[in-house]
Amino acid sequence: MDEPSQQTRWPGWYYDGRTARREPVTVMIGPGGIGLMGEDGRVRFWPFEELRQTQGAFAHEPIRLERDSDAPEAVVVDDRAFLDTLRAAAPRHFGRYGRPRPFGRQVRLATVGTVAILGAALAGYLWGVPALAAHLADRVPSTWEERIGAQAAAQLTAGLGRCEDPALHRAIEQMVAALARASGLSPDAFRFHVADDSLVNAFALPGGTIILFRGLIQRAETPDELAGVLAHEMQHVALRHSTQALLRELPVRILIAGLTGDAPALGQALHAAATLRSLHFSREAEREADRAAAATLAAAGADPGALAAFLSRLEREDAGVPAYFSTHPPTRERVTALATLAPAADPAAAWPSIADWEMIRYSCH
Amino acid sequence: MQNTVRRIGCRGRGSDLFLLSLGNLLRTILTLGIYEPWARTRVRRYLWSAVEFGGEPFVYHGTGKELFIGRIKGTLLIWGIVVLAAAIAAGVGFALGPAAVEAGVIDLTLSLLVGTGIAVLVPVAIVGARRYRMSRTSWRGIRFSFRGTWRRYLLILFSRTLVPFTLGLAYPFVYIREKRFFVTGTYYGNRPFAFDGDGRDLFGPWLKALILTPLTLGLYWFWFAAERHRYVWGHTRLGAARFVSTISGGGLLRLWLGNLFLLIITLGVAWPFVTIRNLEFMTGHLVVVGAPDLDAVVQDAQKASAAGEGVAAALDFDMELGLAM
Repeated sequence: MDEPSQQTRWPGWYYDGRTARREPVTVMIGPGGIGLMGEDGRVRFWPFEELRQTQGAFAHEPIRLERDSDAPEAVVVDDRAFLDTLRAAAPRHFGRYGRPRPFGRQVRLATVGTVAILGAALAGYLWGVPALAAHLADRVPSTWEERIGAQAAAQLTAGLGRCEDPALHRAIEQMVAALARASGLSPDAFRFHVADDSLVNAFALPGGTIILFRGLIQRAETPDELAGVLAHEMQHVALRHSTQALLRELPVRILIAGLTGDAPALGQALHAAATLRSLHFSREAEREADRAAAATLAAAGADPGALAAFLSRLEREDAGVPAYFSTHPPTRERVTALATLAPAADPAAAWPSIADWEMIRYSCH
Repeated sequence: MQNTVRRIGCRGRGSDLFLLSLGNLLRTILTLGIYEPWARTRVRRYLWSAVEFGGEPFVYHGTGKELFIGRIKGTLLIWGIVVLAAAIAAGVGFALGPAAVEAGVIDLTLSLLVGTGIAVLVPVAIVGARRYRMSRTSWRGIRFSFRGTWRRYLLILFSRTLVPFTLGLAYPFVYIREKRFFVTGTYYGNRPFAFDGDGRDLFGPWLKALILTPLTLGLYWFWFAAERHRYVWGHTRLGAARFVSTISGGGLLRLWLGNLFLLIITLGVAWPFVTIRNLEFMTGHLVVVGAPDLDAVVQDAQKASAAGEGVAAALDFDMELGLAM
């Protein structure tokens, strides 16, 4: 804090607010206000409560005080010591008035503020948004989920034919029904499409639509392997992972669009989010779905190890990374985790009516 | 008439403005954007008082609250136009029946009405913003004001849209007309600024620029812009005082390259430094010749609301620092 100086008079300029003339005055600080003495010896008295500071918060500015009256009268003093004395004389009126902060303090304040806000934003992104998304996902109306899912399904399979082989559909229906029962879900909550494409992939969409690509079905050597994938995707639906992912990514995109002021980008982001183009599940979500899928398979009497076997074979055989893995945790990690969960079961017929898997899996071409 | 030559000084520092802007950004984030009008006001207050003439800084008197209310008014105005247009379009559709609706009469009415609304709002916003800023600017206790009307500016904007149909040849005339509108509408107290520029004087330089700019890969444009700038200031007066700008094309090019370099290497963070560099460049090359006989100037402040600024902000266009130009 600066010591108020012993000085009691300061040279300044008076403006009458009616003309552009200025008049040299001597400014004095009194108990209830300031006095301006003109060259003719006349003194104007301005009470503190009628004064307003309009300049002086920066080092290069003079101290400028305006007085509320019909014409905006003002006085300007160049000496910074004037402001310190004024603040000391009338702390109630001038205590919060602008005074240049020392540069180093400004820098420290700005740095602390920036770090605090960045930290809060990071914490919000890492913990706040996922927690909120999980919380909200349980409250999203199912009709909304179904509408988004149907839209996404249409987008993802646009231009692709559908495999409508009755035997294949019967087999999948049977698997879905058995897996749903085994995990205490309603089979009616799920719908599936088989897209005629060589992609080795499967998607779970909000609202219970599962998209299987022909490529994935053809690569499954036993019904249990396909059942493993189905169980995994059904768990994504049941645990509402897609809706969570949607809710998690949306605020970040809105924030980015808002900060850059880019309204078209916001539209695109909403569109992309609504079509689930760029959504991916977190590793935790994948592990959760794997665990629940293994339990479901065991309860349905299928081999819980089949999913692990299928995954590791796909990875071994494919030189490039197949699409099914591109957004998933490393397969080795998942296989190890699945293997510890999966007790060796009897790979005997969990699907008695699926007699000829070799025929069924190549039914579509 | 005295022929004293006086400089216009710039005392701003990029580092001050940088810290000010950073503080503004943090507060704007914390308040989810509500702080923005106050942030803008703080920046203006800094920039205005960074410019001084005759040892006296300019003063910005606007407040964040005014801008905030102006922004709400502007947003309501735009929404009002959209809602009204939608209501009229629906009425037209209802009156003309299903066949016309099928043919797209609602879309057509809507886009016509909204298009007209925006076309009128643009001059309202630009003129309103200038009125507000000038009325909140003072020097030596005397307020500036801007008294041009949006109706006249609408005509100028309209003639600007016709320039391409003259193969650009009408450009200098429309440009000077617009400058005259802005300069002569500006008052210091009760004294208007005067402008005696003529589009014909810029016609030669404009033709030269049309030919040389493509040949020099755009570089000549800086020389033309500098000449245009010098011309406008050179034909601006306030009472007996006139202005002389000495910016050169080379100086403008160096300024622009320097700014570009600063913004690129700092990913835009250097914006406050660039603002001060621009201000220093413009004021450093501007002198006032002769005395503006201040004793005769009398306060004649005009009322102006910030609604025009609000419309400008809602339409998302920002205007350059409008000190006296």
